[in-house]
Amino acid sequence: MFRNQYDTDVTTWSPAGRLFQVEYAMEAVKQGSAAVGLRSRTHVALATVNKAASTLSSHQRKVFKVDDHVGVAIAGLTADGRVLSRYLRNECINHNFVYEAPLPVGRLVVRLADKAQVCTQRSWKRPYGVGLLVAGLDESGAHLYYNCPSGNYFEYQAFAIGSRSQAAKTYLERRFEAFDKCSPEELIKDALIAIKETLQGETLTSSICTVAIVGVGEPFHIIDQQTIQEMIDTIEAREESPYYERTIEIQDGRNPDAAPMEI
Amino acid sequence: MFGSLETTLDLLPSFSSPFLGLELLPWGRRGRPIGVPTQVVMRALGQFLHGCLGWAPPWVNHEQEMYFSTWIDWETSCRYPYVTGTSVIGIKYKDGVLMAADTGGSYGSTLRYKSVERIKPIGKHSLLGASGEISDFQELLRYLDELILYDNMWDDGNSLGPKEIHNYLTRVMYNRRNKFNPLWNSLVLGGVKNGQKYLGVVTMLGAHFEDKHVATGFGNHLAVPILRSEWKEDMNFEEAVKLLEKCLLVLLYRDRSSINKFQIAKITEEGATIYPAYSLKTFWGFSAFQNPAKCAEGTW
Repeated sequence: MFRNQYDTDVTTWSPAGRLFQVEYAMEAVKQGSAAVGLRSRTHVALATVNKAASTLSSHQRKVFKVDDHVGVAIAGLTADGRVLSRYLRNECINHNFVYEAPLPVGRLVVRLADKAQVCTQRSWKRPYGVGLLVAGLDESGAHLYYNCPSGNYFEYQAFAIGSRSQAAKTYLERRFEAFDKCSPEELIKDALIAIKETLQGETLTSSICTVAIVGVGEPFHIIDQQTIQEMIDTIEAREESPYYERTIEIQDGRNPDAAPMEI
Repeated sequence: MFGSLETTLDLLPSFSSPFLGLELLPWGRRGRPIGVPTQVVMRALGQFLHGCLGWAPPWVNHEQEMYFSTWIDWETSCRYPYVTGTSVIGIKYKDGVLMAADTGGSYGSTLRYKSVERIKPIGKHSLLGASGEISDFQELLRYLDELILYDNMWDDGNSLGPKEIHNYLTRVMYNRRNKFNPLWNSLVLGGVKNGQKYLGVVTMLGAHFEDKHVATGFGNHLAVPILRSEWKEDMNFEEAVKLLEKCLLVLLYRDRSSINKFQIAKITEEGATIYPAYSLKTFWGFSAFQNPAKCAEGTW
């Protein structure tokens, strides 16, 4: 994607029918560090790679609890992500106050998508530069949604966003059919393996990743570092076994002229 | 002369009084109370100047000032109910919730309307019964109509259950009471969702609670004692209706605003059913009622 005369304003269409500013916002999501989400019928797991700005600073916060039954993982401009998490928390609290019941995840996600869409249709605004993986549980079961800066949202069985997420997606595509019946521990292990794929050979330790889970009988919570490290150790042990295949990093060979907004 | 007059700020009332909107001895800025005559003079001066010159100096009281976000209008706020319904009784039974109410609308002591349906289905999962002002009940039904409509418009498999509607009604009633403009109703909200039975009450003050058996109005005094001693867990439909009829009969005999025309409504997992109105058999043949003139010659 190269600079052109139609990309200055979010309210300018290109002759090919694309809004370049929105697409650039989605590029920002791809620059962020990876986040993956996967769900079974009763649980949803989220995992993110936390990069620290330097060895002196703390890690970026990429997983936010929105309510007891909903949490988000973000990739992209974390400031935008923080602001949107606050909005999501507000919506959940307001709904809870009036109805004393948790806000259904599908409705929360639509409100978020509508908020993002507004920013793609005002000349004095810019699209949010963050993609959100919304994991939640409501009466109709466990849900995982991906909210895009374009204002689109989709429900997924499993998804990965951020840099080198294609590797994680490949792994998830191979395994997703089994997820429905997975136990929460297996879900978390799968999330950790997916995260490992995005690291490209770097060692996975519990200090550089965050894992959270929500499900039936389990309010949304971030899992503590020690448990994660134990699970990582179990995964490494399993890797020695012959049938575990390593995925080969597939170059991100997307057609640069295709509009990514439908994806 | 003007130096000694109090200004508008001094006439700031802490509450308005019915007499010409003047305050009974408000405190002036000089620390002295301002009597009514002074207030009358100030008000008159303000109106005179406003009429003559088209304006009046700001320290003369010529326009009512808004010091509060809502200026309470005592004539229309905290209204009195006009057409009222009497008690509603609700009980949980094996398959769901059963509610009963008579179909009378009283206009003071006159039993003016005899076919007022005071129990209505709300959405797929609930029933709402109301006692008190009928027009306020109808207003509530309009709010709930809109609520259910928007809920259905989502078309996403989620629906508002009885607990949500109960809480919503609590918020509405409480907020209205805080504005000194209550909806003059006692509401009974019953429903079943996903096998969970729910029965709750919201009063006109916004007080709310849940229970296995509830009643409003006179039912609190006459029906609740019966329910407390005879209600049991998981009654079948016939037993539950018999219990309700027992309470309704007592109410019919003893509540002067009840009429002998009742409606029973049930809500189960399958949905709501409001049965057609019917009457109960009453017995007036007590010996004490026979020959009333026996001990009092000339009575009727």
